[in-house]
Amino acid sequence: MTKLSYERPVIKKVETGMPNKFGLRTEYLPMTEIENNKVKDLVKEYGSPLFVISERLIRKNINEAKRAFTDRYPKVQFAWSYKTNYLDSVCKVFHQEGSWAEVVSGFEYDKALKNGVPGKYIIFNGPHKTDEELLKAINNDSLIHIDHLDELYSLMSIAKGCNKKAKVAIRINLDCGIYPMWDRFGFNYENGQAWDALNKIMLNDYLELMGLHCHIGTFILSPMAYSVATSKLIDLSLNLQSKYGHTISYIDLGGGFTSKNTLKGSFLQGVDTNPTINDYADAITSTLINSNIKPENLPTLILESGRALIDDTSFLIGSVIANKRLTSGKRATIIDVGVNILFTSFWYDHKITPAQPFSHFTEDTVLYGPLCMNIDVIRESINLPLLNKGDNLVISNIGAYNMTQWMQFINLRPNIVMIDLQNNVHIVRKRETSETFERSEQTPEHLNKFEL
Amino acid sequence: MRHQLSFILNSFLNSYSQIFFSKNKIFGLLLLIVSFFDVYSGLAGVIAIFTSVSLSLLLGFNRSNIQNGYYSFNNVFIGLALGVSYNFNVQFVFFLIFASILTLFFTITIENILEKYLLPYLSFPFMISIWLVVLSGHEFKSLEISDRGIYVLNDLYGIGGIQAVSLYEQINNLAIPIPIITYFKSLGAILFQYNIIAGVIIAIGLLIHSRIAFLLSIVGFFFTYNYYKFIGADITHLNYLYIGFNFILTSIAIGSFFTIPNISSFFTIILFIPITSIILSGFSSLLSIFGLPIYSMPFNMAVLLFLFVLRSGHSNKFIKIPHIQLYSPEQNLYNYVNNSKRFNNFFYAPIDFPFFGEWKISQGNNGNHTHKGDWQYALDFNIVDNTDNQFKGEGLVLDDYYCYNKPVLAPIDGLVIEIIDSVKDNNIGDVNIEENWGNAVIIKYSESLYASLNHLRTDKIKVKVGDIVKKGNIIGYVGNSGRSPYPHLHFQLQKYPHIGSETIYYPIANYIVKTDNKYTLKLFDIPKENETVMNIVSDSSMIKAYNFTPGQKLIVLSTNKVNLEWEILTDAYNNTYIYCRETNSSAYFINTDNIFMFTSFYGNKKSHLFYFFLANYKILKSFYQDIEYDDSLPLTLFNNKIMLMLQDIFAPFYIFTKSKYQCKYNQCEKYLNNSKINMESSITVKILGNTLKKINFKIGIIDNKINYSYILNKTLYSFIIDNK
Repeated sequence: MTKLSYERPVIKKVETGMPNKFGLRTEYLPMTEIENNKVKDLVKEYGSPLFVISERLIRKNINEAKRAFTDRYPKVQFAWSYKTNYLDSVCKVFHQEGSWAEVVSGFEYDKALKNGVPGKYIIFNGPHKTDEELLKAINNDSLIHIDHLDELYSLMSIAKGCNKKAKVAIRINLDCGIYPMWDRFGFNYENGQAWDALNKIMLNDYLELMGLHCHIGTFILSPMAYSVATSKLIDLSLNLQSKYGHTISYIDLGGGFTSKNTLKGSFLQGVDTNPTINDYADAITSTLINSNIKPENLPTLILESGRALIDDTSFLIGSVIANKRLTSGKRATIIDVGVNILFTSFWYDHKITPAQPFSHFTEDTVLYGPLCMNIDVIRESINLPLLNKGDNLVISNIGAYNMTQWMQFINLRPNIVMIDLQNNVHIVRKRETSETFERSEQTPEHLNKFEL
Repeated sequence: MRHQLSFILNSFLNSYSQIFFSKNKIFGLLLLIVSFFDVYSGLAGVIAIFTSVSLSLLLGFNRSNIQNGYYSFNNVFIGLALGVSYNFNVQFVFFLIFASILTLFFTITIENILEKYLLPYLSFPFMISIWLVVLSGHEFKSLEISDRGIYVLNDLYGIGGIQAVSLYEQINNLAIPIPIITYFKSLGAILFQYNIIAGVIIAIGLLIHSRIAFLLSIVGFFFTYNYYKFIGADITHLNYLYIGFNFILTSIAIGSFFTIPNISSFFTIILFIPITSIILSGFSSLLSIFGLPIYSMPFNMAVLLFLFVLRSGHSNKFIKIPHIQLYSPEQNLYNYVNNSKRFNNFFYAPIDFPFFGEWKISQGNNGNHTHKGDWQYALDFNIVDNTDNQFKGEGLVLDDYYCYNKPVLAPIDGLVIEIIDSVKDNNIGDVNIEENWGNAVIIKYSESLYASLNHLRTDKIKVKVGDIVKKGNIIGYVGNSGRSPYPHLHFQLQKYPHIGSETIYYPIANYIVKTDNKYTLKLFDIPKENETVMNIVSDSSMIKAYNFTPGQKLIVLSTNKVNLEWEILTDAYNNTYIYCRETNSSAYFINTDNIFMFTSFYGNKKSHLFYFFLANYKILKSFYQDIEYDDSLPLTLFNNKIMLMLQDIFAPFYIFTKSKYQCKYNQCEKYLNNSKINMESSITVKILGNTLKKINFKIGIIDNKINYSYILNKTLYSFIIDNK
């Protein structure tokens, strides 16, 4: 029998909610293992904080998503959204599962090439593409998604200059009942900008219109919005068919599908209320299938889903640094995970689970990060069992955006490990050292000497 | 000019070979030579043909019919018959020309009368004409009855001098048994040449034309001979009048031309010989009153009776009629055997599975649970993951099931005639026996074919009664209504429009079976329980590459810089084919949504078109890794010539050689609407399992064009087909 861990006594105000047969106890289990690796061992081996990615879960997600679409539509292609998580290992798992690459900058574009993705399987999105990048994309036969007229014009002249047909699509923004409407990207559907741009492309000898792209927003909780967006894209493609006899090869509906995270301020848990990938698939594909597009002309459906595929595959392990009592009487726990590496804690109430056994007594706690900044709050209010210094916590659903939007601030960024299908652990990004920064810095000679 | 010449040559030679239901030029030439054994008679034959061909051209008849000799083979008879009967003089030629015109008119008239009954006119026109001519000939005083034919040696001396006479003597002195002599003489009698040499040459010609027809002539004749002996009939009919040719022609016609030669057709001629002999004797007596010879009357009568009776009956299992007459018993047979193997099922409606993606047959025909009795031919489908589980999690709620709420498609074009959409979905494990069929849609394809989809999701049926649906439209979603303890899709085809009608045995048009990542192509087959199946999703590059529409020109780019041009044409029967003008070759094809298939090839077998035909004999217009399939070719198309001769003799009874097409899909770089696909095909000729001859092809689809190459006589040929 293992020794029970010590917990401080606590006085708690009785708040009678809905009675249940278990009384006021908390009935959730500690998360002592990730993919059969003990959290304690992982921390011991790779340090804390630690990002842990499960290869098995990535493959499971992409296959479920593929299944959700291919059971409903014959031609489906996923493209991995690099900005969501561009760790080479993560990207390569997706490429192994047949995903193309969707990039939004020259840096990501080069990364995709370096990862071994042939140019023609790279979708180049984003509002900022330099002339050099565009030229490279044209020469590699990549699919360039045009964002604005200025880009269209420069693409026309670059393509003409190198006498090669550029494969293009345009990004379209449209009203599908979602607020806020993302009209800052692409050409608007309702006011005719999109149709105007398409005409310009069709009449140009150096541009080949391959598809239509739209990305209605992020964390969209209503699948019906996708149905509306799809029908508007279909409308454009039918117009192209009737005016130019041109059949587009694909429709790219971007991403924006929800993960299992709970948005801040939402009343119910995301895992219970967020639509599933099946709901989105149904809305999109049934609109396509029952449209007026002739069956032989049905376009390939491209999806750039990022978050929905990666969020729940990754975990962030942290350790308790200290406990405090605030003046309000509320308990505060400081952990070694700050908002600089858990950027998404601004958006979500992440699921946070202790990594060691605990009793069923919990206390409303505020979780602070280790930064010397007032904004460094991981959770303003969470019911946690009583934790001691050195105890570990596992933060779930953190795969999307954190490993790309994280900042080096005060501390160096930690190890990232991936657990493979045989439960072996691999470091996929080494913890940073001071050398990482010194390498890029240069000090003018006259600043080197000082006396204090 | 060259064209005109070949037209004249063809129409002449075909007029002769048509006598034996052949279009073989060598045979025609041999017959022409035999007819000139009696120079005047041969000349009369030529004049008769010339008259008929030129008049029918003037009257604007179908050129190809003229070229095939349809309007002039009766004139051969009239020419030869009159030629041997009368002395050759100006009056005779005059008389002959009009007799020929009369024969042509009879030919056209009788053709049009009998056509309505789908019957051939055979040599009826000749018979009527010759009788009229014989009866009227007495009146024409300037015509002199010839005594040629009576003094054979005199005639021979006239042709070949003393050598010919001595040869004739030698042959006559050979100790050849009487039945064999009679056989040859009977053959000769067809061209009014009552001698062995004529018979032998005709027999050789017949053998060149067709081994089967030759075999039948022997079987038919010797059976007749023995039958006459057995029945005690007047054998002089056979021995001296050589009227036995009626039996030979009847045997060839019934046994191999109007039917597919097989064991039953051989039995049929044995049945028809006694009948023919009755007709012969009966009509002989009748006609002798008028002093008329019977000529080919028994043959005509017997064949006509046979065909009329055969066509009046409904389908019979034994006697098969060739769909396309190729004027060669062998080709008819091999094509028939091959086509029945390949296209027997093409009359079935093109039913697809009612879903997208990969599904598993959870209950097949005659399944253990509910597919029994009237409902034995139903299919149940669901979706499983790679651990063969049909649900994720614990499987306690509907949403856990992979197939739940997946779209259900119309399996075929049709009219929605009934829907039920108000039955509640059961909880997992419950069944609703009251409303057994659950939510359902019934689609009518024809008066006797209805598709029923059952256990659909409540309130999510997307069609109304009276809607016309196209194959692939979403009609509803998989649910768990009715007698369904867990979500699945029940699909059945039935003869009647009611929900729950009895099922019928009906194949799915084409689909893929997946077993352990291996794909198998199925055509018009019944899927079996536990198979993982999917609809074929055509690859747009392959659709474009094999998109051949009539009127289109195909540019064939060759690596040795000699580019060819082929055309896509349509014939009178709406069959599409690729035509190579240079080599006068045609390759017929059919092009369905998923499959491109050549059906037949006519023309030059050394042409590039022929090798294109071989390489692309059957193409699945979709890519599945390592999928392999085969098909069979008619044996005449690609074979070892000597082996084939041997096979021909046995063909009506047993086919031991095989000409097999194989195709394998190796690699695919999928990219939107422009996939790059690599595959290889081959044709193998096998005899009793040993390979005799093989040719390999490499096929690639690059930039939506067919690329193919092969090595022939150590030379690499490679082509690109541009169908833009």
